[in-house]
Amino acid sequence: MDRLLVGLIVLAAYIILGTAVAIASRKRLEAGEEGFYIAKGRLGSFLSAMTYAATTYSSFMIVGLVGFAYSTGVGALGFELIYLISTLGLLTVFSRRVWRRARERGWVSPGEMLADIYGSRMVAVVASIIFLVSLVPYASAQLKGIGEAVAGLAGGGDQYYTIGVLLGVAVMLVWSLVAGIWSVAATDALQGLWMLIAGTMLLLWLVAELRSSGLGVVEAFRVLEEAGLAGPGGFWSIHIFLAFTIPWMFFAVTNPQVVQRLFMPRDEGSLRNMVRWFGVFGLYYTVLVVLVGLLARAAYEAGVLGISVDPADPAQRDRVTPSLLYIASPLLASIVFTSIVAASISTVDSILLTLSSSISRDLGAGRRAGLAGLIVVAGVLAGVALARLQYIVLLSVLSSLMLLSLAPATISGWLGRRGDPRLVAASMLAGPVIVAIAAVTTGSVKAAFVSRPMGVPISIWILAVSTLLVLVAGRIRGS
Amino acid sequence: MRQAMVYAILLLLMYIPPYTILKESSPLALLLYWTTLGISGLAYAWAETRGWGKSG
Repeated sequence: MDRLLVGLIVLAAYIILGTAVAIASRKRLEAGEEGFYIAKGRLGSFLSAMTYAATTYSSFMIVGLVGFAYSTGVGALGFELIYLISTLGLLTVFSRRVWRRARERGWVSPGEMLADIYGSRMVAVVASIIFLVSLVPYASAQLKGIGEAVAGLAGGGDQYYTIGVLLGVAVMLVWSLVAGIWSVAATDALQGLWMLIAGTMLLLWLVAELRSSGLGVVEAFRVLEEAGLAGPGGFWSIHIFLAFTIPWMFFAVTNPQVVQRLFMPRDEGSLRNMVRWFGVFGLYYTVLVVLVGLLARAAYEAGVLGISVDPADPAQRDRVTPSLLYIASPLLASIVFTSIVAASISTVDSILLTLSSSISRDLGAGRRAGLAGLIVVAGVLAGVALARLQYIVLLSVLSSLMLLSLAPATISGWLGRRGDPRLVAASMLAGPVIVAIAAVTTGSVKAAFVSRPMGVPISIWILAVSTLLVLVAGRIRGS
Repeated sequence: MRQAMVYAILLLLMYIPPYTILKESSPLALLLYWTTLGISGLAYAWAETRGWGKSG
């Protein structure tokens, strides 16, 4: 059967199934913002774990990380596992106390949490502006990815890109609005399972194809070593490794869409299972996608399977997964292609709902304005994605750096320390300000990400300045 | 606190050996090394959360 037709059938099946799951979840929805945004803290173990995992892992994994592993080697695994270990550490240390305090204090949005801790609404306003500025490019880049995936499936063409983006926005809006967090979490569970199954099928298919070409997994790794991919070196110099890993180490405390998920489990048992099964999901999925990238590179080096993506060209990194799908059977290609869409939607609809809660609660606009804001933000995301601005992808890379300066204020607050709210707000602004200065002085967003003012990585500067301001804020409040 | 120290040590192990004693090692060895640390981090989280929800 025609690849496009199979692809559209599988995509349609995914959308119908997801919409049915979203509608079925409506019976759980309770009135009020607590019900709509955090399920009144009533999510069970399965939904808590799956929504945490599916929100965290975007299409970057099955497209970007596969490409990174293909072009740069096994260092890509270290980069992604450092994120996982840091997140497990932060969740083990802090999640129970945050969950308890959220129930005691009635927190709904992460900005509201910071405002309550530091006793100032201004802190929430500053935080929500940083969330909006940082996450709009990131979420738009996800929609752009859906547009490009649909265009790729259809063999190119601007009209297919537009259809893909609009389809993504429509699905995201419907699945967010039908039952708020209940429909988002339920569809996240479906999408997370789809991502795991599709990734597993892709890896098994690749291993089988390599074996039929006379290349076992151990031989494939030998080929990689002979190709000069020993050790973490090459692209992954220690400087680059630090530049990539440090901002992501604090993802669990700086990204509002995952912080908000700590408010949702219905009891400590559900919270425990959320931490555990998120870890299982993350470890399995990370190793799986890195293996796909490494084995694809081994196939390229061995001259089998007809993969022609140039590993030396960074611009071609995101083409590794599409090139594998081109070789795979139409059904497998369609399932994996749909998992790319699922990974994007599950990330972006969670961001959308969190930004809506921020508008409603942190900016004090109220529930109706929060819902209107949800639709407006979706429209902005669509507009930015449809404009196909190249710098949006670059700006999305910087989102982790811009959010990094929220880490000291958040962790300090979680530890029970207080501080002068003006200095706390200033500490949170350190990230965007330092990133803006670096972008202007280096003349490029990309160069800003890996810049090293006075030999120190920019991420360390952001952490140092924001930590210093939080410490000073604590002293002023204490004196 | 103990949990933070354990994760700090795991993170140091993620960074230091691959750039020192393991810097010439094969991709398979590094994959197994980093994956083992990932499993260790997960196993520790599993153990540390065992009591959650059981004491009311």
